[in-house]
Amino acid sequence: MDGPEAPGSSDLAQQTDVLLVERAIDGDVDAFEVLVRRHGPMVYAYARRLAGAAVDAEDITQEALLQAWRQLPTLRDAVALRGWLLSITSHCGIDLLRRRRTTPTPKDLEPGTVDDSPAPESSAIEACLLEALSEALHRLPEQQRQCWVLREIGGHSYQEIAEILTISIHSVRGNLSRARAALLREMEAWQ
Amino acid sequence: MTSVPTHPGYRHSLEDLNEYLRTGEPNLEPHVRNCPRCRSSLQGLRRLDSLTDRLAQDDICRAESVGALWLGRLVARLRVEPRAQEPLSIPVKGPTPTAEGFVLALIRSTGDSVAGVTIGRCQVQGDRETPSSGVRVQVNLSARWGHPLPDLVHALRDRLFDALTRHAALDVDGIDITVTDVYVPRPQSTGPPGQRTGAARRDQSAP
Ligand SMILES: [Zn+2]
Repeated sequence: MDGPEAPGSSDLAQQTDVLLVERAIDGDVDAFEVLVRRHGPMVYAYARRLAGAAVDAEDITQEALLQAWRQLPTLRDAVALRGWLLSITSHCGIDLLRRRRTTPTPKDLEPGTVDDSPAPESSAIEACLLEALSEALHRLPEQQRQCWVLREIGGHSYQEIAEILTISIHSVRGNLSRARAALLREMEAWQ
Repeated sequence: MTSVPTHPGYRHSLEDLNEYLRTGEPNLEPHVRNCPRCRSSLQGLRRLDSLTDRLAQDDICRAESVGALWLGRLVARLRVEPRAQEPLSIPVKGPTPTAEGFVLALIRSTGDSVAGVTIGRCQVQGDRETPSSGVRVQVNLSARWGHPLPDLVHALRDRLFDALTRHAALDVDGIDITVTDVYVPRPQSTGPPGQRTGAARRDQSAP
C-alpha cells in the first residue's frame, strides 16, 4: 500500500496495554509477549527486592507471568495492569519463598554482585546513594524487608500485607516501623 | 534497632508522620509545623521516599538490560499452554466445527495483514439455535497514523469477509468495524505508545 512499511504484526509493540490485554484475553500469545517484554522487567525488579536473591526472583517472575496469563480474563480494567501484575507477583513471590524456606536457605545474594553495571543516566553520587539504600535493605531482617517492599514498591495496604504474609496487622505495622527507622538511621550517615 | 526514636517534645511515631506525609492528616498539622524534630523526620521520610522511587526505577532499567533472553523463554512456555478455548458457539455452514478461538485468530491475522491496521477486541455473534444462520462480526481496530481511515476500513472489511467465508465457512451477515485508536509509528520500540487520538469512530455496514 505504501512502499517500505512492513504491514501488520510488527505494529503490535506500539499498541496500548488496553488493546494488548484484549487480544491476550482472546488467546493471542503474541500480544501477551509484548506485554511481557514491556512489564516483565518491572515484575522481575520487584520480585528481586521481595526475595533478596536473583535466583528466586527469576522463578517468581516466571510464575507470576504465567499466573497473569491464566488470570487475564479476570482483569477488569487494563489501565490498572501494572498494579495488578505487582499484586500477583506479591502473592506468587511470598508463596514461593515460603515453600523454599522449608529447605535450607539459598545463599542470599550479596548486594551488587549481579547486574551491577551502572544503570544509564545515573550520576556517580546518585549511584552511590542507590547502592547504599540497596545494601541497607539487604541488611533488614527478612520479614521487615518484605513488609517494606510490599508497602513501598508493591503499593499494598497494611491489610493486604497481613494477608499475603499471614501475620497480624499489628505485626505489619511494627515491621514497617522498624524497617523505616532503620533505613532512616542509615540514610542519615549518607549525606 | 527496634524502638522508634524518642526526643523531648516527641509526639508522633514515624508511622504517624509517614501517614501524615501520604494523606496530609490535618490533626498533625499544627504540631508538625512547630516541632523541629518532626520536621526533620519528615524531611528524612521524603528523602527516603524519593530515593526508593529512584531505586525501583533503577532496578527496572537493570532488569530491562538482562531480561530479554529469559522473558523469551517464558513466552515460549506459554505457547505450549494455550488458554482453554471456548467450545463452538457460532453457527457454521460446513461439517467441521469451528472453535471460536480459531475464528478470532483468523480475524486477527487477516486484519493485521492489512497495512496500517492492528486488530483489537473482536467478537463473533450468531444464533446458536439456528445452525445455518449468519453471523455478525464486530472488530475494533487501531490505525497507524497517516492511513486514510475510510480506505483502511474498506480494505479490512473486504479481506475479513473473504477470509471468514473461505477459511471458517461462516455465513457473514455483517462486519462492524470501530476505529478505537490511532497510533504514531515509532521505530524499534516496545514501550507503550505516546500520543494518540481519543474519539472512537464507528463504521457499520454489511459487506
Ligand atoms: Zn514532634
